[in-house]
Amino acid sequence: MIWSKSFFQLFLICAFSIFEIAIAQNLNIENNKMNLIKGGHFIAFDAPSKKFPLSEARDLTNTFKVKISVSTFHLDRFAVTNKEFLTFVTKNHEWRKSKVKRLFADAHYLEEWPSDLQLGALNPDSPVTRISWFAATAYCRAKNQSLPTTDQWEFALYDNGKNKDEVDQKILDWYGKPNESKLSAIGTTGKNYQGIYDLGALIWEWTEDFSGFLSISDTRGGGAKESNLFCGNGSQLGNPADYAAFTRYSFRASLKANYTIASLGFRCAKGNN
Amino acid sequence: MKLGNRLSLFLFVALSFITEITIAHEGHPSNTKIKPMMSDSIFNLKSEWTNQEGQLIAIKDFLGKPTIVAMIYTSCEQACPLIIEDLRKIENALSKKSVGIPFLLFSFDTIKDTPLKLKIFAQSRKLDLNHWTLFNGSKNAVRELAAVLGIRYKKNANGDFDHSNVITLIDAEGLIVEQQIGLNQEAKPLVDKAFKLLNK
Repeated sequence: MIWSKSFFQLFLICAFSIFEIAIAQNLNIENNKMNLIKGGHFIAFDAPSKKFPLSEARDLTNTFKVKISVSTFHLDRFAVTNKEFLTFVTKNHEWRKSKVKRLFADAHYLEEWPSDLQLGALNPDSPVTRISWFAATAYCRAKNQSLPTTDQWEFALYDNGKNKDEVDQKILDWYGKPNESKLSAIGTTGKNYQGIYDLGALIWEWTEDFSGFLSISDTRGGGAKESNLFCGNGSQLGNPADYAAFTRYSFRASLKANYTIASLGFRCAKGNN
Repeated sequence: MKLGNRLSLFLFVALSFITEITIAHEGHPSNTKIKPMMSDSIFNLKSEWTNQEGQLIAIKDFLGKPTIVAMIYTSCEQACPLIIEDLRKIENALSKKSVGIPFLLFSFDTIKDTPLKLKIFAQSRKLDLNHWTLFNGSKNAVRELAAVLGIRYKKNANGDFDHSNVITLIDAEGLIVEQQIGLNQEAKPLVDKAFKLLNK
């Protein structure tokens, strides 16, 4: 009797231990999908001042350097892949290419997919592209996450200023390269010091507020805050890194939320307020 | 003791799985009552808003009538009063032709622009609440509406919003007919189109 009771206890402990290991592994996978990006600040490129919304900014000498603070957040280590997006549309019918509303995605949405649930010639492990801002937002929301804000994305790219020249060069090289007909798999362009892969070197990425103004401080009324704004100087305007950033901000400003583009994908974030 | 812990952990996990399954199930789109709606109609937006009377309203509730839509925030000192003036110009021009159209104002400020605050704003600006409705919505609702209207905005550290000034005429099916972009614009093109729509 006593033996059988302790045997039963042992059995339970074993069963629960196995269960626990399974949970732990599961958590691990979840944890591995995102990395913690510790908060901090960085200097964004020359932001157009109040009177120059980005889309109208022509005269770069009329701009400011903007110091942007970012709180700690989590960011996907990899861009969302074709395979992952297929799983999403399998469950969420309204985001299948035959079902999606034109309001939410233009006619080129998932253009290369032969049908609703087929990837065709696409590499399942390559970033999903030809998805709209609405589709990307819905994907992240389904996971109780969101798209990173532009500030978060740029801060992750900034990588605490480490290896800045190398990063800038990599990005510029990518900008200079013609679009490949086939996107490489995620992870193929390496990771940064924060363990985030392929940032700025494989695809363009949607951000939550891609269409937002860049300026962060209201310069009307109360006047410019010294801590947030200071004038850019000439030497920095000639910096190729600023050119790369300017390209990114201009690209984002040119988008509309239902656009889908062959080189534009996304990754999700958590802790976006 | 340890067994107890494990047991409670097991129960907790089992319970959370069950909850997750239930939530996932509820989360599936079960609305098969498909209304024939244009694919690019703004009324495809599912977001819900609260009006100045505290009533919950979906954008698609305006399906069937042309509307004029703008986004504002009421603590805004500069551009917003001007956009209200621009809207009023449109209202006056249309009323001269004895045509009424709903004016829908959606706030960027999810936190400060409560229904009560919106109502006080409407009264102080003498907006006729028979034609004008002011809305407060979630951050996601604001983001999505701004996205379909092509309105750029950003919340500043001090709580103000930088935003583009756009007045949009939407037809009965929810399609964008005309947009007046920028402040102090000539109202005629939008007014003419609204007049045409309403006299169809």
